[in-house]
Amino acid sequence: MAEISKYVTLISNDGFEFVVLREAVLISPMIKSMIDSKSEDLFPFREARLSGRCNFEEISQPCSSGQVMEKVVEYFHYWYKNCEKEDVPDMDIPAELCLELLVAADFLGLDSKNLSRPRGD
Amino acid sequence: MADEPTLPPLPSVSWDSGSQSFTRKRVRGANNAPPLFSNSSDPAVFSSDDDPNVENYAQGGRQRKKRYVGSWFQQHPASGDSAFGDEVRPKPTTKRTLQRQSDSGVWMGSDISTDMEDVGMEIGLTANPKLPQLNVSRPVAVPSPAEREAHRRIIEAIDLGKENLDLTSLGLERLSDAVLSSLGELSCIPLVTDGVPFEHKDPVLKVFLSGNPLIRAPGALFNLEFLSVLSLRNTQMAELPPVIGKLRNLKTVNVSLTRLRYLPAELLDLMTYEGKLKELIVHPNPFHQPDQRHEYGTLFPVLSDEPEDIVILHETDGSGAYDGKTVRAWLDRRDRLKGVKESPGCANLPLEIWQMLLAARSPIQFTDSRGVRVSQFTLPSLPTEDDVPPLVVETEDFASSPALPRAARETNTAAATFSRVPSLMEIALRACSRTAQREQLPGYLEGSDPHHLADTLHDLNAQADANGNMGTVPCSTCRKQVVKPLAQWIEWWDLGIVALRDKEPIGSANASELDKKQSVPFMKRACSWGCLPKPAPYGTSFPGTVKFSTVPKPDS
Repeated sequence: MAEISKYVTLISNDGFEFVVLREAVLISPMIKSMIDSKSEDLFPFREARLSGRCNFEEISQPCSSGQVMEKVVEYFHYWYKNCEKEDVPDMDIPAELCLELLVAADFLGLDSKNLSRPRGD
Repeated sequence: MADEPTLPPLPSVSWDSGSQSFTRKRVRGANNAPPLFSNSSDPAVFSSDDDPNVENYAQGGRQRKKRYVGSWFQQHPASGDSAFGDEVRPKPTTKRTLQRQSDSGVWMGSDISTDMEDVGMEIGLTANPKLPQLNVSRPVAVPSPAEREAHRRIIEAIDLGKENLDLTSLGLERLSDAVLSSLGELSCIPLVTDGVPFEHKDPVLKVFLSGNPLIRAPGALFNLEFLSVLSLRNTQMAELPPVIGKLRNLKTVNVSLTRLRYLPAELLDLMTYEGKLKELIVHPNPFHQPDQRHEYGTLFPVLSDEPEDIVILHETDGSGAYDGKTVRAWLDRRDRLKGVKESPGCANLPLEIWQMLLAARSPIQFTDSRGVRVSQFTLPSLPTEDDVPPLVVETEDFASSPALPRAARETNTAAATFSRVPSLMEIALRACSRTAQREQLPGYLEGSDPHHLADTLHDLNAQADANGNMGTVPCSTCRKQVVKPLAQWIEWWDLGIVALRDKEPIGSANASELDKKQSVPFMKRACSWGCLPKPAPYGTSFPGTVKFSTVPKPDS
């Protein structure tokens, strides 16, 4: 297997591609199971694991649109930047996206019980 | 009444083929009587049968009922047909020229001229609205008589500038926000005397709600910034909302004889050196009891590692009590107190200050961002029945690190640092709690969305209703507002208020106030893994409260 890239590409259902740090997206158990080499070899994710591309195109809900995914990616980096800081600034999300982000967070497993994992794993 | 007044002749109606409608010509009555029916705002003509005297009707050859013109408060008989001779006649009106104001836009009955044809006017308006949803009557919250009485007293207090609001024993089961929020407008009537400059005086509100079967504290209460005395004694409250921490001017709180199982930890913050809260009446209540409590021994320990940067509030020399040792009352500057004087030892006495010592801590209940419990330990739920005896709650040693849920233990190594970053779901929920349509949000979810999210949003609304319309609760460690705290636990604190007076030695008499028999449980919560309680040594006192220590004699 080729050397694992430092970055992962997330593709939204309207075709936007986001290149995110692999370390940052690993806090989502959902994405982790898609790309992590340690996870079991589930068939639909084999491609994602090899290419480092996570395709959310089949999920036609608004929660995987580019607009929402942009905020999700912002959160990944917000977490990556602040996870070891004492004083964490607030991340602001617009009110009109709050429900879509709630569904997206539920889907990606971005729950407080999963955030206890220290960085680097 | 031999013959009835004759009706005016019917208008002559003719079909107008040009406009495909009936037209009619109005003919003025011969005696120039005002038209019987008028669709305008002309002066009304009243007919009264108040005095059915025959003389009112018998006049000359033509028998007519007595008529009045003018406004209702200033009526005059219509014409000279009155039986009274000496009445004040209406002033003869100046002759009006029938002239239309071209720009008035108002059609008056008197504007019509004989040769003007009015095309079929429709007079009747349908009373029922055409929109179907307006016909559906919505349930309207009808205030109970007790609530109306409370409202009357609140209005009276605002009108008179009274700062004491006595709503005791009215039988109030609920008190709507609309009624209570107007109290925020109360302002004092300043005492104006000669030579004294006018000064704005903030009101010192005192609200007494004792003796009412209130199930929860009314939410608008916690927006009354100047509330200084709050009595909720003898009510049916099961929880005091954390939003009470907003009331920084509270001096006295009485919550005895309720169904409270614990108090919000936000009350502790009001009891620090800067806080004004000096009187807290909490017993008797069916508080949770710890199964085991820590005894901290002497109240005046000899501290080997007393911090350098302290504020000495009071010091007794070694002459009197305590075997010649110096007893000190001090504050720790590391507690980030803002109101403390810069130079140590110059506190303004006399001073009443709280002493608080940690007695016990329950294990921590962990929940995920949806509020689903993930830990073994569960805090007892709020009682639903009326008389449940105080429950005994399991405790753990607060001098060691709290026990973590199994999932977190597995993923954490010993060197792992806990992050303080909230989860994305928590951030989204905070945004939900801030929106104006918070109550409608569960309905906006799509059918394909997971059902548990709707439950989470319903929980958010219930929490906001109980917490004075604040969907978020503060984290006990970092004070950030959080919707679904990651962890919750109960801490039992021994409370006592200490009176420090100048030239009076600190002795056991001052500290005997500390109520060791009945520790008070406070509910604390943490927003993230980084805010979990740290191991606390025995005898830990709350930040910002007085600490005692003894200093041995220098020569010993």
